[in-house]
Amino acid sequence: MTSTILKVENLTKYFDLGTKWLQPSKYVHAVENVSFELLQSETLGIVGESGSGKSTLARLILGLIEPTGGKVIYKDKDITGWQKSTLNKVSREIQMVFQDPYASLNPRIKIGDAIAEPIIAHKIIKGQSEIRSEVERLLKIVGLQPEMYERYPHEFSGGQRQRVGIARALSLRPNVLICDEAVSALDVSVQAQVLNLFNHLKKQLNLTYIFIGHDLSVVKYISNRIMVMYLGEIMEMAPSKFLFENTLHPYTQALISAIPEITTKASKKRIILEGDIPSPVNPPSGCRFSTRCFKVQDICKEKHPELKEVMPNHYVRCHFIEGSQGRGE
Amino acid sequence: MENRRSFFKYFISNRLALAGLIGVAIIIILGLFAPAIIEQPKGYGPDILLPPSINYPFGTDNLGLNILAEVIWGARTSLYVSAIAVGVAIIIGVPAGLISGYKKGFIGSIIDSIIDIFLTLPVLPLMIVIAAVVGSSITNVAIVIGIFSWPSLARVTRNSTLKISEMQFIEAAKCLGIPQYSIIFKHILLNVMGPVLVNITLVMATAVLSESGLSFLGLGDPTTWSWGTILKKAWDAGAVIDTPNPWWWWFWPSVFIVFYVVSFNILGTGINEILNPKINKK
Amino acid sequence: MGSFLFRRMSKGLLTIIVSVTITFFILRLMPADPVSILIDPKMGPEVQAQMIKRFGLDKSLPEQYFMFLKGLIHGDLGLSFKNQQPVIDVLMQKLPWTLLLLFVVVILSLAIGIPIGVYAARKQGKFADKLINFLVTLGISVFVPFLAFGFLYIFAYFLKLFPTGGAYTPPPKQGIAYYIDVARHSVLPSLTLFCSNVASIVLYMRNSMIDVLGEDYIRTAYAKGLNEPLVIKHHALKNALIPTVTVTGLMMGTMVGGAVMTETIFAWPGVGRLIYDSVSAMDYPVLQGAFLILAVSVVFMNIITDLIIAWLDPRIKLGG
Repeated sequence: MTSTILKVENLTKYFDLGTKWLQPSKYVHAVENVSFELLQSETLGIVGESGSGKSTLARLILGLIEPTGGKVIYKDKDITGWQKSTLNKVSREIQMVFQDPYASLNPRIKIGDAIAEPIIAHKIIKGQSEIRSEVERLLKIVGLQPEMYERYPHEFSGGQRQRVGIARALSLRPNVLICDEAVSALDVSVQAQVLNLFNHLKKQLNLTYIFIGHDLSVVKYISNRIMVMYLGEIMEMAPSKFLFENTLHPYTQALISAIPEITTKASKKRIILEGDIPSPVNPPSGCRFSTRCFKVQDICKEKHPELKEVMPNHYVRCHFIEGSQGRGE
Repeated sequence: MENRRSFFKYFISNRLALAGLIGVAIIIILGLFAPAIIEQPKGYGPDILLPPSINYPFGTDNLGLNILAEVIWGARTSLYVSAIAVGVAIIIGVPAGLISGYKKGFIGSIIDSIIDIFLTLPVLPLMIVIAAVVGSSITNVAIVIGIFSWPSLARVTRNSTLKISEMQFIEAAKCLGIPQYSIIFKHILLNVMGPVLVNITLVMATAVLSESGLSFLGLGDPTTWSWGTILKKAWDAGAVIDTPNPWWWWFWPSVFIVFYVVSFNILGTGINEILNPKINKK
Repeated sequence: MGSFLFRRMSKGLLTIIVSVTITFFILRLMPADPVSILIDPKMGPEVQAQMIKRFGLDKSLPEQYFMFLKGLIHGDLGLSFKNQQPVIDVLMQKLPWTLLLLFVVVILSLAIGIPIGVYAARKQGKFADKLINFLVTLGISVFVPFLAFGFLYIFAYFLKLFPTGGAYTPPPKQGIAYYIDVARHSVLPSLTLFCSNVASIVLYMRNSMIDVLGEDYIRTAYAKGLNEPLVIKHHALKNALIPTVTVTGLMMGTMVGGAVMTETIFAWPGVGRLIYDSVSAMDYPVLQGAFLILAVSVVFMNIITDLIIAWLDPRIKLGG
């Protein structure tokens, strides 16, 4: 049976906006009390608008940012806040593919050298020719030619650069790969290619993914389970199939209804959220979605709902789960 | 421009950079090969204050020495002083800027404040005081100038570093566990070289202006020929308002100073244009 | 605005403290014997012993530092080697002349440099702009003594239009005639300093104006139908001025350096000329005091430019 490879417990991050004289400190509540388990070999998709905290969450797991509270447990070891700069074995095993193919590679370094650099830094392989063959092997795995070693990033297209980024992340032979909006900056046709590459690599190398995105249809394509975030909190979490067939949280319903469909049927009514996104500096008391929710009642503004498992493996944070079934009309 | 080959191509096609480079090259050749070009002026000769002629293209001074020779040997001194000054400035300034821009925090603000203070102080009077106290060997002067040039270099390095630190490939390097000194002195340094290079040309130019100024005021090395020293001798002898006026005595060293400084300045401007093609397009 | 000014003043104070400390350490820690640097070797041994006591040269370094600071607050900068006059008196005599020169040059540079910079920005890429850029490059590369020599040669020697030096032709005249005489004498030195400074101002004004004119809110102004002079005057000028004024403040330090050489050549009786004379006479107390007084003046002028920026920039005026 699949075991839990990564566990996140009550992870919280507040960013200090800086204190001014004689004024109380202001904090951005980026991530609030997030807990979940990641199973070996699964792909967990995380979906949310910008400001939902998903990128911050990724960096908390990687140790690039220190959490304000909570724990990150990898293979039963507490790795909370382990600074990435320490060259240790555990920090290698969780890696990230970044969003911007134009900014995630150093423009002054050949791509082959960029892939080789972490191998050399962690002393995984020694000897120039061995390292070179390893880099060429990685280039082949991601669908590029070994001769491209000597080229610079600006000589490649966006999709190719993203492949280089993947090869670089794989150079340390990680177990968990976090893809932070890894295809969002690519053209749609290229997106499909890269997504297929991800699936292919997962099987070939036995990887576990956390796939972060804002486009539900993309996340749906690749994920086994999906987690929906809003203003730093998990609003709903379920296996992909169930999330779409039995959507429980109003926010998820709105997101799903917004997915464009090519159909000759009469267009379904789209749920349009009204109201403003509240500021993460002062999150509303009660439910954070209450300012825009189309099902909002008084209790939503007063009482903060907890994340509850209302069906096997299906978690929701809403006061009204018992009442609503299925998609929005 | 991303890699070395296309930088070279752009360089040749930019007229400013090319002109500056040619000017700089001329000075370097004159300075390096001075002993082979013309004999070092020493002692005194009989032909006092002669106007320019075939024998003496720049005329002679009040000791009968060939001013052309003085000026060429002056190029040697100026090159020497600029090189040392720039060397000192780079050794102190670039790491200071890199570290202060990357680490930010306490050390970063301290370095930044030091830079700020040095940039506001009236530097020439301070150099005068120090030069007066330590004595006027040419190397001392060069080191003093270098010590007052590093803040400007550090500032440029720091500003570029601040920008580059926020880029995603730096975050990626951290994620991959690349050690910090590698991040600072390889990844960031490779990307800040451009603006830093521009500032280095500026430092070369101002180093010569400072050295000439100090020499002119009497703090230079009296045993070496430097354009500032030549001007000082001319001034002391009243050459500027004398009748008849030996204008060639003070004119030619000054022209060479301007030539040196202008060459480095336009070289820097040219490099800047190459790096930022947007600046001169409307 | 309050916190901005507070921060700037603290920085100014810190700069002065650093200058003071540097001066202190230069003369105490240099390989040269501090006694010979502070006390005129020509004085008799009893006087020397007295001076040693007075400057505390026989005490420990921290104690000396505090005595130094105490002396500074009382305006005691030591005695000049040349004539045993208190340094502070000598400086106070000369300072107004230097400030006069600097003041005139700054006003002129701004008054002429800003419009030229704006003009160059408007004509970007055209011949006028290229010509101005060429002149600016020459201007920032110029060696001050060369400029001074050139003006002396042309105007004083050749054309005999202006005097060759001094602030006035002795004996000093009375009333209006005096001021006219000083004004005549100040033309060449001011012109020299002006030429070397106006170039930077034109450069910065042109560049910041080009940046501002490229902004979207300027395009909006044109789209609204405003004509060019109006757009520039109402929308662009104030914003483009801010970096220029900032850089003027920063230029004060280099301007003072240029003043040293200019005053030397034109025998203008200011602090710059005093420095030159003191170097030849090895009058270290005066040198030290001159640097300090110039540093303080520069800090002061910087605070003034900061005030102007605070007034110009609404983000600072309102935001603090």
